[in-house]
Amino acid sequence: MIRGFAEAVYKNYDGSVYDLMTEALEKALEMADLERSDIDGFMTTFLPGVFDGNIYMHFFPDQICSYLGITAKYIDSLEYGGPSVLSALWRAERLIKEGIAENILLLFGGKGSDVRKRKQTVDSFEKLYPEVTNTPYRHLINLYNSMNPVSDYALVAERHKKIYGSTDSQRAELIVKQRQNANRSGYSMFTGDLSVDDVLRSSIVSSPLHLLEIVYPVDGFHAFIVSRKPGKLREIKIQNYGEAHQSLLPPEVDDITITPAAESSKDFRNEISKCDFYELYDSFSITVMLQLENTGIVPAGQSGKFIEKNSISVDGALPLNTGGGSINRGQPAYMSGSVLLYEALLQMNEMASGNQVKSPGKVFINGIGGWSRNHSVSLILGD
Amino acid sequence: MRIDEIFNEYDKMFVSNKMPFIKCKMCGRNYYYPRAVCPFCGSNNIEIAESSGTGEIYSCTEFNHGFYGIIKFQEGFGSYMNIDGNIVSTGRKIHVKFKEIKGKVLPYAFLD
Repeated sequence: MIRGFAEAVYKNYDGSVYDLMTEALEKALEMADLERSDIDGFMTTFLPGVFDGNIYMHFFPDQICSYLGITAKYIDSLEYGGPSVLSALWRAERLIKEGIAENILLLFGGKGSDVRKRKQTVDSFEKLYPEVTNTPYRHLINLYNSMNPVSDYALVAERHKKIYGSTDSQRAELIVKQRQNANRSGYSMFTGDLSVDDVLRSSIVSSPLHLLEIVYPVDGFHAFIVSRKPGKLREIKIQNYGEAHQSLLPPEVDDITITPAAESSKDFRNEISKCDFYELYDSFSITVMLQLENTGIVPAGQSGKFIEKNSISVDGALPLNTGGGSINRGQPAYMSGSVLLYEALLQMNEMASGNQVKSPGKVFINGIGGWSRNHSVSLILGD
Repeated sequence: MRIDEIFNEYDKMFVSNKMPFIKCKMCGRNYYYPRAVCPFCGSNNIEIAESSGTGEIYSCTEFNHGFYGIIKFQEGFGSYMNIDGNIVSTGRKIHVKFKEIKGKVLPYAFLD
């Protein structure tokens, strides 16, 4: 069960990534009422550029443990972007059940601003290093004028419009409703009035996606401590879990509006509809719409109409991205999975103050990401 | 077939303004991004073939005053490509042309 959780998130952090991870760890240890010496398992992730601008760090999980003063008997790194932390939670629960560790620290994040200031994304970071090749298909993909991952999600949004008739206004409506959740939560980075027109008037980054439909990469870490013994938090565990990894490239997929979320959620669709609130990965407006459809919450092609007609507030028809999502809270180091999990834990422990879900019995969380959204993790948390 | 053999053959065909793809002789599916083993069935019974170079825009996006998209070719394989021509939109037919992009001859899509 999760015994401590914390975040250290800033729009632009001047110091080192090591300071951010220290802050997140210390806050989580305090909540868990544990010492560093109690941590005997460590799980993290790596993305190019987000560790103080380094394209790589030599044996990085060991370097982090060394810096933080953690002596682990189990170390792991999961590297499929946004949903990695959700898989780490599931694996940590299993490791503890097997008696392999007592208190496992999940430390996920980095500094998105290092990459952003160099006018690159994690996907394009190799452009700064001509001798580095991210993929064997480099020249067949990267020599073209592309803007991944934005242009890749733009292609999905365009295809969704073409086959289902979804509209720019429907996507903007989702952004506006998530902003309303952010305004009520009181703990989002981006707040204030926002209208559908505001979204549609923001610049088109890669058509049809507007600037305000795209998550903002920020600096920060989330720390989650998964323990065998309970602490003062509610004793919640993963009730249902699925992960799916697709190996085809998007041009090789028959229908790009179907993501691996369809596969990762397929074994417990009936349980998803019974959840009290929903945290869905929101790298872009279209990402949320794809997951609503792919996990069976709404029929294929209907997410736009559903969002237009229904409230997604904590007392609405489908409480969704209750804290405003990472679109409003910022995306630490190009990965939103921790933002989803953190918000779910605030709600489940009734720590969401004025924006609290009334009876937070179960939450459905879906993370999607990695290169070309090839990875999805679906899970339900409950007692 | 080794991966560098596939890339070399692709490069040769690009220079001759020919559009390559890989045909799986086991399952019959075609693909573009080089792997020595068919991503659909796992067979290594593959061969490099020449495409008609015609297809249609499966999806497209505009940024920085240029277009980028997924092209589905007549032979059933798909690829990312820059797209040139007036009024680019999903569903429109294209044929490939070739140009030097950052020191490599590569195909791009041109509206019919």
